[in-house]
Amino acid sequence: MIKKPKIKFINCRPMIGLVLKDLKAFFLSPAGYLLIGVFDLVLLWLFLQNFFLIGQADLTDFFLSLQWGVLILASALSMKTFVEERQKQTLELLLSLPTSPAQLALAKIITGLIIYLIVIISLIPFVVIVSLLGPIDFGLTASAFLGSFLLFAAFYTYGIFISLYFKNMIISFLFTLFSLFVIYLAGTGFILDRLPELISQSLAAFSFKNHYQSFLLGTPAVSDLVFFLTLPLLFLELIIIRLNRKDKIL
Amino acid sequence: MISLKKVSKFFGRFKALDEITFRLKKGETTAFLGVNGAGKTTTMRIINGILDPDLGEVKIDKYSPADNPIKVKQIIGYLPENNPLYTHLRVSEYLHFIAQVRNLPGFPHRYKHLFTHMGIAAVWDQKIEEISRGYKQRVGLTAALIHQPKVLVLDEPLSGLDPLQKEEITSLLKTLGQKTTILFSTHVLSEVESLCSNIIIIHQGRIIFAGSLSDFTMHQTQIEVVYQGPKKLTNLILKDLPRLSLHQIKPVSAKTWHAVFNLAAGRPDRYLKSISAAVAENKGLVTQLNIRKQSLESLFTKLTDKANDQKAKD
Repeated sequence: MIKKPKIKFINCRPMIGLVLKDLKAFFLSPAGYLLIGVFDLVLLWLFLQNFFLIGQADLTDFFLSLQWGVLILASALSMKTFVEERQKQTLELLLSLPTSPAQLALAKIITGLIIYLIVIISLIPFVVIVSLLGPIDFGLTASAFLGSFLLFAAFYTYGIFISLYFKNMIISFLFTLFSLFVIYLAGTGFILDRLPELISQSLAAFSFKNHYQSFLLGTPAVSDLVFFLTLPLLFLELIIIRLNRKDKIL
Repeated sequence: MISLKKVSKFFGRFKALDEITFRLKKGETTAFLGVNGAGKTTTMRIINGILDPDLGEVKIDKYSPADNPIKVKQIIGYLPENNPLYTHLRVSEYLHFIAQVRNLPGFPHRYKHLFTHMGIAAVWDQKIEEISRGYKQRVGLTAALIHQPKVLVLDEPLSGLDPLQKEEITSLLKTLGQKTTILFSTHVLSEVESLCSNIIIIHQGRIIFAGSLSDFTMHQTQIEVVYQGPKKLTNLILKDLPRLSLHQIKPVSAKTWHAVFNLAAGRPDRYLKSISAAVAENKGLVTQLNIRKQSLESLFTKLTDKANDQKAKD
């Protein structure tokens, strides 16, 4: 008789506790609000520089600036995840609780995604104001926000993975920021145009910019969705592998 | 309840634990003694499944932390060294977080008796960063106890506390020890005697003593005799009582000697009569006869020095 494979489902209740704990850490301190506030202000400042010159209710420039904002925000938020737990020695406490590495990793990721959703919500009044000045394509805007969300998910999970290798938040932040910047730049025309065609085409398939661009144009393909869903899952797996190497993370 | 069999742990080339073996029975309170860096925290982390051993076998109530990490963590309540807490949370929020992660329903009503017993009601709504160290320790202990663990593993629960706070936590541990198996590490030896019946001493990753506290102190007891008679009388005493060994002998006056014997095993009070009889038989006169109990600190120092010498010889 063939045995049916046991499917293990992740118990969500402990994860709710972990997510709430991290959300409280973010929103109970002024630093959290300050981060979102500064993020929004810088984005608006960058966008408004050309907005009135062009004189069109077009959010393309806004979403182009947002990609860099996402890069910085994901690096800043991810540096706090495991580095802070290690610095405050609370990682040992977490590891002593009946939670699996998968639950710990997922909880950290979900917290970051919730914070980013709140960031998106904080930007909605601005989109509404622009829509009052002239007609905007709400479908396109939703697609662009979805693209930025997926971009954030990929960058943020990468940042969490990197944070497991450092004990200093600033170094973790700078390493994540710099490496993401290089990876992102490698997929832009600035680099791709200078490479042989074969290499250029291969690299273009993994270009963050190209996949994000599809969302900005409102025409995301299945390959774009697969790209952005695969990366967080890949980094989730890498985070779990790293968390299982107990000697290295304490 | 806790069983470690030939457990070794390496950090790179450094051997942090060297084939350590011990067993703790249900309901026992055991002190885990050792100087800093002896391997106490590593052992406790292995018991909890926070670290994996490189060699050997660990069993907690029949479960291996490597094979059943979640089950083991449900059985154990753990207070890590330095009592790390999420200080941005209020006491109530922190304990709610622990209850949620441990999947415990009915917070806080179901656990009110525990909170009352641990004396944290006064700081219930305060932020952890604002409360005293003694209260923080209570909160850490409450978090370790909230799921009614069968085993309590406490890494340095008394460190950094003032004498009053130490007394509070010691009395709490005494009460808890009536129902729970407790293993607590410390290098503050003065608290050990009042708290536990068993001790395990670890030094440079090796267990150098594991047994009851009374065995430990009994075996290290000295008997002090002041007698009138010849010096060689001590040899005759040793001949009659082979479990004694001569620690030192000094002249008090021309025919009076002050001898100190080490007792290898047995109750020292039983030896007092035997020594008096042996001296009288050999025409001597005992003028003073005392049992000299050594402090745990001096015994501990002696044992670790002995272990150092042994390691140097090896």
